[in-house]
Amino acid sequence: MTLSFDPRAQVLVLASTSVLLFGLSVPGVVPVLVGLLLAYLAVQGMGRVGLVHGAVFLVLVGLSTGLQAAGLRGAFSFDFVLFLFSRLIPLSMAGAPLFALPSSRVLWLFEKARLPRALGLAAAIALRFGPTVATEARAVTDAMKVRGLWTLRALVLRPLATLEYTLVPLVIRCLRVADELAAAAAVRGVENPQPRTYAWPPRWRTPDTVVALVGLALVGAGPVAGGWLRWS
Amino acid sequence: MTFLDLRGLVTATVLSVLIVVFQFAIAMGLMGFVFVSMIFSPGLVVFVTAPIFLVLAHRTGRTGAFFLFTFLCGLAYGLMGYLWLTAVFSAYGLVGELFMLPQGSYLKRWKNTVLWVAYAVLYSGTSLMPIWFFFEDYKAQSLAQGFSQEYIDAYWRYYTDPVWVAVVLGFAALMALAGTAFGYRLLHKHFRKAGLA
Repeated sequence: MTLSFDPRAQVLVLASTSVLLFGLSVPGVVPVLVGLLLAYLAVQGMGRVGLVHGAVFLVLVGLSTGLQAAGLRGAFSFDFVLFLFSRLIPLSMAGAPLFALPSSRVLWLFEKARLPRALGLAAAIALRFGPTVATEARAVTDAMKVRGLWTLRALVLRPLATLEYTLVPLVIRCLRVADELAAAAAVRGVENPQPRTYAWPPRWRTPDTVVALVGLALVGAGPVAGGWLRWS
Repeated sequence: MTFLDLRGLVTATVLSVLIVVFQFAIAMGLMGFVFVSMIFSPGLVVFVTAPIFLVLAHRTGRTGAFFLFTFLCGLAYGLMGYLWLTAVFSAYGLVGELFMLPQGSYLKRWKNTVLWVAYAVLYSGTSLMPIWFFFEDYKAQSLAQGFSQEYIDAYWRYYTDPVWVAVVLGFAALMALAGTAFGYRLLHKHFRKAGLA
């Protein structure tokens, strides 16, 4: 059984994680967060995403430990990158459900936050359009590879020309997609000034209260567990 | 003052997403090399994405385009946990909109150049942020593992020394300037001829 949390609870989870990592410095909090967020993603049917994050986290910690055990920690900046990435993993896990929000829920969330409808619409389009950009970029680079224009040699010897050959078709493709999206949105009545209605508006339920309380409790427990406020 | 219509809003959104994707792809690609990434990554990003921004500005040409772009950049950071950056980028966008307030500003080369250079400075500041936030934790761990204070301080100096920070911001501003020049070349060579901007 998968749970569908209220988007407000999901924002609260992200905010709690952000405060725990950026606002407080709590020793040993990162593995705890990774474990809890793994469960949080799993109950929402995003277990695979959680496992990938968990595996990356283990690899980063393993690499860092391995470097130290082998006495190779002289590569100081690389070690710092490993450390930095391991800190960013919980944030990526907490934000993942928001990236997967359906457009109607994004619009609903912006409406609840009393933000302009145009911003909600832009956010909804942006979240949906992200993967399309990757597809369009792949189509452009594939076409360039066929013509022998997308090679390491070309990138090094003629970087500006390669950039031009990549950007121009990509932007033109995106403009075409934008025109189609605008036409589709207009046909669906997105410009209608009447208040929007929702067939299945999200409702705040017990699981939302539970995750919100866990997030707030962790933030509250941070200083008790030996954490200190950054910038203090 | 004419605000973005639906077509302009969608176009600005789509091109902003394209810029954000380039920003993250380049930043992630270079992140393995902290020093190189800190110095070159923001400059490279603003150079590569300048032509896209110029198409955005000339294609939409209306009030709200820059704000929407900065809001979506901030939102991308916000969804990755940097929640306060959504507010910072949005505030920056509002200031930019004030600068672009007279009708037709988005079609002026010098105004777009100044706007992009100013954005480059903000963007390069954000690239230093994770390092500023997490270095204290890293320092504590490194000291516990036997690194000397002098060694850590020598490394940390690059991220706090005003000269080095000025180098990072200055390089990004220069690359933004070069990027807009390159972008205008592409705009005249391709997009104007095709009637797209």
